[in-house]
Amino acid sequence: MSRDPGIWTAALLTIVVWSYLFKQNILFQAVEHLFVGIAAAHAMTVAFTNLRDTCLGPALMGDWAMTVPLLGGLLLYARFLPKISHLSRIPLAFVMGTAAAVVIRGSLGPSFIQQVAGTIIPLTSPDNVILVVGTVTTIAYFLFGRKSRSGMMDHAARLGRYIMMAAFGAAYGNTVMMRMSLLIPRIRLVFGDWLGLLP
Amino acid sequence: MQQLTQICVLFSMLFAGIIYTRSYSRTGTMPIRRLPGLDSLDEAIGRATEMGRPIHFTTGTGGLVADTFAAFAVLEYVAKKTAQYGCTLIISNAQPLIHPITENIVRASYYAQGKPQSFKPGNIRYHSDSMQAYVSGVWGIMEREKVAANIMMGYFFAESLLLSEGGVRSGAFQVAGTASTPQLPFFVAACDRTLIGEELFAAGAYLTEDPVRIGALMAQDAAKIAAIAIILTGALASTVGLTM
Amino acid sequence: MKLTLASFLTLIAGVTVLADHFVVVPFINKTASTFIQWSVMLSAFSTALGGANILAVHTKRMSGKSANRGLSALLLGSMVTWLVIGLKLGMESQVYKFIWDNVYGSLSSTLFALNAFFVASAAYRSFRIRGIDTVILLVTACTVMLGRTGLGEAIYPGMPQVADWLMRVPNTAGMRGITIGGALGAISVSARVILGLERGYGGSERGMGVSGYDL
Repeated sequence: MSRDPGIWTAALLTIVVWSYLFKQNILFQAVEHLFVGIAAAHAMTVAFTNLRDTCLGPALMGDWAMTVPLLGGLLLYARFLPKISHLSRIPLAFVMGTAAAVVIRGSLGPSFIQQVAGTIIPLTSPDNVILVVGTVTTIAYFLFGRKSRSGMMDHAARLGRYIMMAAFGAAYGNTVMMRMSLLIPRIRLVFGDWLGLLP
Repeated sequence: MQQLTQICVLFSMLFAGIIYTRSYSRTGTMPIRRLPGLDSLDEAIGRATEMGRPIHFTTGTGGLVADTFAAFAVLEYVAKKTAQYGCTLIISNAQPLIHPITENIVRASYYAQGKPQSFKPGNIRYHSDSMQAYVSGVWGIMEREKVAANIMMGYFFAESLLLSEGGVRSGAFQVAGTASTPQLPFFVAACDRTLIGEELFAAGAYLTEDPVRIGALMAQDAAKIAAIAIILTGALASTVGLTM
Repeated sequence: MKLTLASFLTLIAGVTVLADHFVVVPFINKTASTFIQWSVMLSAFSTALGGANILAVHTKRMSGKSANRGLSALLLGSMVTWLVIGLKLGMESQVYKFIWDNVYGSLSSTLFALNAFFVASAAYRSFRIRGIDTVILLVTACTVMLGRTGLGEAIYPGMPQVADWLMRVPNTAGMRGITIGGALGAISVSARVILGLERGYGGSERGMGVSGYDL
């Protein structure tokens, strides 16, 4: 059996987390609260360290470009002061605009045009036919208009749903082994490093 | 050339959206077909109200991405309904930036329903941006508060299966929605109802009947029909040896 | 469409970052990258909002008669202690590293590893035949699962090839269709956010005016 306090701590916490599989219990709840506390504090420590190095420091040195996010960041906290709480929407609105534009940039090319272009393939093999028909019918499944999803498109959409289910089944089956393998290091820690039962 | 194509797609969609919005505003006829996945939101809210137990809502660890924007519209709908029926709504956030936004949406929804006194900021909770810590926090809420329904809408990573199995263990009715293709199989397997991909983006238009959202959804339909036509035409052309 | 300071900022930020994608104009490109950098910093500032929420929720719970007072005290205690250690001693200190490796690291890995159990329990429940959808899901999932193990090959030597085909063809087709639809939805909702046409949280004030958010 291990004499390393680190291994003892990790192994006991592992067992407490596993206990969740049987029933929620007070030990698991204690670990849950400890975990959230540590994770939240870590996030704040990392954020503060990054801001100190990239924003606060340069802003205090007179870099005007960094005074803007500094002021914006402070405005975020205005929500704690009822009289000026509405000002906290200013930085939020700015971030929303930036984030939305980043989404459009990523979606237009790689997720739309390139996917459509990638499906334009010669129908010279059964695989290619299935790929084209499968893609097209899946797109048809996502037609939301009463008019656009009628007649032939409705039949196509039904086939598209079956294709999607096949895709989900395949993806699920493909990840089972990978997810199972996540357990190996934890078993090794408890039964090997801690209890010394494994070679 | 590619940039030009992208600009054309973007402006065509905007233009089509304007035309469809004006058309809907003029006729007032709902052009969207029934979407059972979205109807199940009412089922979830009704179940929670009848049981006198809370509803849990979360947008996942995805941050400010398109799925989260779409999830905000669902949150607005759920918040208004819970305010109307006097049902408790608990929200779990993993991203600190999402936290004030969800609080704004819920507060505004309660005000809009004339129930500002029912709004409890303490029901909107942040659990840290660590995926596992957030999951454990959500599990705790689902078990301790005995939630009747768990609504997961947004962008999810590997927490999808952990969250939905936690919901199953606490006996919650679960509705999920995401466009994250790697996580969809897990939601489909574990949840009662799943909004697949673009269905999440249709939620805002369907639930609120907002002319702008409906117009935009019809523009998306037009773009999909165009994509189908281009793929089929292109595939047939390349089969007979024509290159584009 | 009502133009407010908030919606104006959303529009300016969105249009600039979008324009950066399409044009090569040094001023626009530099401004867009500055805007993205500012957004990252603002996100970092928001972390304290999360911390404040935890503090508010659990302080209230501790001051009440809740049965979970002790748990809240544990959460706040661990958060404050860890924050003090992190800020005072630094993230490179011995004590920070010990807790990081053996507490945080262990909890993260173990919780994530529960996926191994859940992937089986979810499969068991969902694969009870409920209709044609679940039949397809079950058959493809089992085929790929078996194709990825020696057992599948023992049952039928061509099983790994069938699994590969399922991943290469139907899976690609289905996921591609979903991606194309999802991309259009993403473009549409994001364009509405930039133009201030999405309600509630961004530019437009519909539904927000009552709580005094007009700027």
